[in-house]
Amino acid sequence: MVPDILTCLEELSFTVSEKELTEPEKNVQSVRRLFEYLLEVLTGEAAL
Amino acid sequence: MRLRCSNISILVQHLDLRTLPKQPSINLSPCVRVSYGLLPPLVQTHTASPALCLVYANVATRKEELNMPVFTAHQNMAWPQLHEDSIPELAFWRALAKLMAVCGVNDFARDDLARPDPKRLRKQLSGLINFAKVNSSAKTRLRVPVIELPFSNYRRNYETVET
Repeated sequence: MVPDILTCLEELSFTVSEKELTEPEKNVQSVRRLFEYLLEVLTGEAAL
Repeated sequence: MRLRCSNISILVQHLDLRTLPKQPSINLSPCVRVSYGLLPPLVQTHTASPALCLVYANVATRKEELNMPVFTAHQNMAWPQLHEDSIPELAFWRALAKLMAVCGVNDFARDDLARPDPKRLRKQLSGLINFAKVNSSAKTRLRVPVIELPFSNYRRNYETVET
């Protein structure tokens, strides 16, 4: 499941390591950056 | 957002098109429709319809907008400078929670940002990816810029006033 998510995130032009997804409690800032990016991509100007 | 066709099989895994028959005006490509049902989606409860994706995408949330101070709210605060950090943070979380609800993740909480859990994070990302794929497919199929929401007009007026 995690490799699939990583592949899809790469499709969305966001690179994240597997460790950051499997141990998000140790990578809070990375997770936050990921959510910020997805929010902007999916609802921002780029989504139009 | 451009998606490569070589990864269509992976994308299909993340699609949940159960609501599509209820949207007769929107049809996805045949390959997506045929593949659906063979590969289960990652988020079983996802219910975002393409039409809803398109409408929500036009809200056009930007990071700069989330960081902008709310002047009407500041007028009612005794010490607005105390909230300079908390207001953008809450605006970000509110926007993200709304997006999550559209993606079928209705239990998104502040803890998911402060103390993310691996299992919950995977579910949330699956919902977001699901949303992105349905949104992308619907836009590709329809090829129209979508409905103007009042919020978009509000933002334009707001920017005009600010400049």
